Amino acid sequence: MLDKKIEEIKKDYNDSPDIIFRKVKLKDKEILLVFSTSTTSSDSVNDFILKKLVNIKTEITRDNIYNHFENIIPENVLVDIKDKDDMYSKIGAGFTIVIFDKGKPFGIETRKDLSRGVSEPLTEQSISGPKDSFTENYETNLGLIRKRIKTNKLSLKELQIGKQSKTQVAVLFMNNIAEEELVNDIIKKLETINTDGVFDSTTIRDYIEEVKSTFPTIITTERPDRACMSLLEGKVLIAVENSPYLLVIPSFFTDLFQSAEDNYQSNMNVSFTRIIRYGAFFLAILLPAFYVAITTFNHETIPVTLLINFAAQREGVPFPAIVEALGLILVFEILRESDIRMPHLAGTAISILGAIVLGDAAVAAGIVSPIMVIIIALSAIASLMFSDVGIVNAIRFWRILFMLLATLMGIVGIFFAGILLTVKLTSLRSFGKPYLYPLIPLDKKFLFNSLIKRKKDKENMRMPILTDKNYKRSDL
Amino acid sequence: MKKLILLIIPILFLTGCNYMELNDLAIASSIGIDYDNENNLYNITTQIMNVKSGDSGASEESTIIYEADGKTISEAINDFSIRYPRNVYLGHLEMCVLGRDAVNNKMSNIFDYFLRNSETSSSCYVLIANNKKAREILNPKNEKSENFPAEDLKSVLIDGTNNTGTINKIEFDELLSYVLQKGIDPVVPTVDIVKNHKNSASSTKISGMTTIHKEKVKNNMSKNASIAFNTIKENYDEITIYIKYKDDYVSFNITNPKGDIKPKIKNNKVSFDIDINLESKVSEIDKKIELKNHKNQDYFENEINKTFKKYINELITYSKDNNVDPIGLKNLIYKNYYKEYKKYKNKNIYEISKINIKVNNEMYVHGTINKGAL
Repeated sequence: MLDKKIEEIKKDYNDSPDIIFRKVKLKDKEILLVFSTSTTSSDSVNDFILKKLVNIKTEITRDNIYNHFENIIPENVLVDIKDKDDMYSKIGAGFTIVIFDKGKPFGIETRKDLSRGVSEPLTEQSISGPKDSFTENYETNLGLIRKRIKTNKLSLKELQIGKQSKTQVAVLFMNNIAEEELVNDIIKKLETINTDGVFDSTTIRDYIEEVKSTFPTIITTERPDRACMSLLEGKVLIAVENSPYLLVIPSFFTDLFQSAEDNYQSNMNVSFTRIIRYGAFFLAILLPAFYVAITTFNHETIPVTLLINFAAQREGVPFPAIVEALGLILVFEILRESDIRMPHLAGTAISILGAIVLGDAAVAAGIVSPIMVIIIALSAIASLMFSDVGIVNAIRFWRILFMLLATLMGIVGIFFAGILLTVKLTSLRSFGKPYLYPLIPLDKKFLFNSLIKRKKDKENMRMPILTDKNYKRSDL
Repeated sequence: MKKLILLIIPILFLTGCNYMELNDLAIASSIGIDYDNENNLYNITTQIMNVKSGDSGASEESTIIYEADGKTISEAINDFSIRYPRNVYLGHLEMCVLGRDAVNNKMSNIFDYFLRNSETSSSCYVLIANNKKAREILNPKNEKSENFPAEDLKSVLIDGTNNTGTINKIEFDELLSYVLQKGIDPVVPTVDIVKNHKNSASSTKISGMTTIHKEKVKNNMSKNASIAFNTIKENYDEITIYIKYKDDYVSFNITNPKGDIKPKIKNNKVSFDIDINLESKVSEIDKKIELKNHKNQDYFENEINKTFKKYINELITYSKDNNVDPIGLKNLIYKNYYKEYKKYKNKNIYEISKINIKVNNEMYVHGTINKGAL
């Protein structure tokens, strides 16, 4: 009987060599252990199964063995196997399956630790504050949140997405703060995902994002502290197996201007930095367009000494300003991309090459004017002030659009591009919540809070748009 | 997408500016307009700021002169594009030098050109070439300290107005607003070329002020009349005057001029009260004079008042003789006694009215009335 079962499983796995079949003889009966060497730790199989099996004193039946393990296994998980599909997904997840002649098989968790340990955040760095970040391990991620919010009000709904990948996806929320409607909406959306595999939270984001836009309407975070703060505001998190980024829903435009650092620095300094961030956003989008507009259309707006300076620098440059600007932006984007893709060891070479080729040689060769290098570099650096890569890309898109319209129509073109940007931003929604909140609809108090950091006891209220109960933080 | 197209299409019709790269522009820093009465020709001279980036990266600056003739200003300026490689750009004009003939014959045409042309700067300073042609004034061979002669002239104009009181500065749109106002004649600085005795080089000099009345340039004001005009108009920050005391001169700084004129018409008799308030400060004094003595203080205050009264009387005489109205007495009648204005419109108001002058100055005593140190 057991041999027949072995053949069957082998056939299903197409003779994969990492699936191990181990027949164990107990008294007069034989049982079969099936596990995968790639996901199972052989130590666990030895310690928790083989050694324990020897101690069985009672008659060897399925139920007796199950009861035996139920009593002696302190931490590992014991699961009933419903059908073949279930069995294979459990083998994939690192379970050892115990199969009998008669009776249903069951699985014992003997998982190998395949993930890297908790390390410092890579994209959302901060000088002060906690230094841990989410990893690819799903349980670790949930643990990092649970250990920060210890109440039973932290709820978790689990789903399995992907017919082949069988990825665990968890929806986390505070059930005494978050809106039920929002949570149900998110779960409903997740349930409609119909695909073979999901390997990262960004894939999930692609499926559930309502509007396609260059601006990120759902932001990701790798910082457990930031995730927990979002939970307490009434936001909902989505954790995806094998992804170190959690999705935060809903996200507002103002969230892009807050960094993790903001929670751990003094109020005055944070407010100053935030105002600078807003300034940098506009600088990054507008500066090249503005330069193109005033040097090609609206010369009268430049003070005469500056105009002479500009004219002197442009002397001998063969291309029109827009070509110069687009060329430099292209070179900068190539540099940025190669810098991200290159292994760190070669990274310095690229920066040196970029600095020399771009900054010096191009100017000396008379291909671009020095002022244009300054303009593009300033605008590029300003856009890199944001940790979310989504907004950096959005800025890039809009910067080019603004520039093109400025080339066509000067300052008037910039106004029109501004109208387009406003129309786009005001029409965006993140899971039904207006993206520009608290600016539109206007909520003066939270608009002020999003710009100026105040004493913690003054920021006592939760945003009414995110929660329908327990507005006051002190009430809970 | 439809919305986007709907938004973008109207822009193409809304803009009035042309695409022009900076290095295609010949940026004019000043323009000189002369008019040749015999041939009915305008002669336009522009100083172009010529900029080239040098080898070391620093820009080399020099001035080029573009010159053209034409039956109209537009024709002359269009003529530039045939003669010279780059487009003349008048948006950054700093100085506009008008020849006497140009003002006397074609003032309204010149104004019209500046007003209609959207790319012409209206905040340039206006000067009148006194005895020379505007073309000669703008000659870059004149002695200069800045890279661009126009810059030179501009700073002289500003500093001179603030510190001497003998000249004034007037921008194009100010001048225009004076021309359009009823009962006031614009006062414009004049410029001359003076020879330097040592090296026979010539340089430009703001020589004084003149009045334009009914599109005609009148005689220059005297120095004293100019000071009176600038005091009434509160044009300067600080000027220096001197008072004769026994055999010596005492010099005073005059600051904070406040001028006020009140018109009065009673029984068909016009009178004006000119009220001047000043602050004075000793700047140079002989050690023998004891200023802490109140008598002396009063004496000098009184002398200053007398001096200014004399200046204002000179201004009134100038206005009377030339039949002009630089301080705008008729304008005050127009504003205060609208119905009576027609009566006085064409009369020489300085002849028929009684003008009472009151000057009051206060000597600044703190720390400055001590005896001379030596």
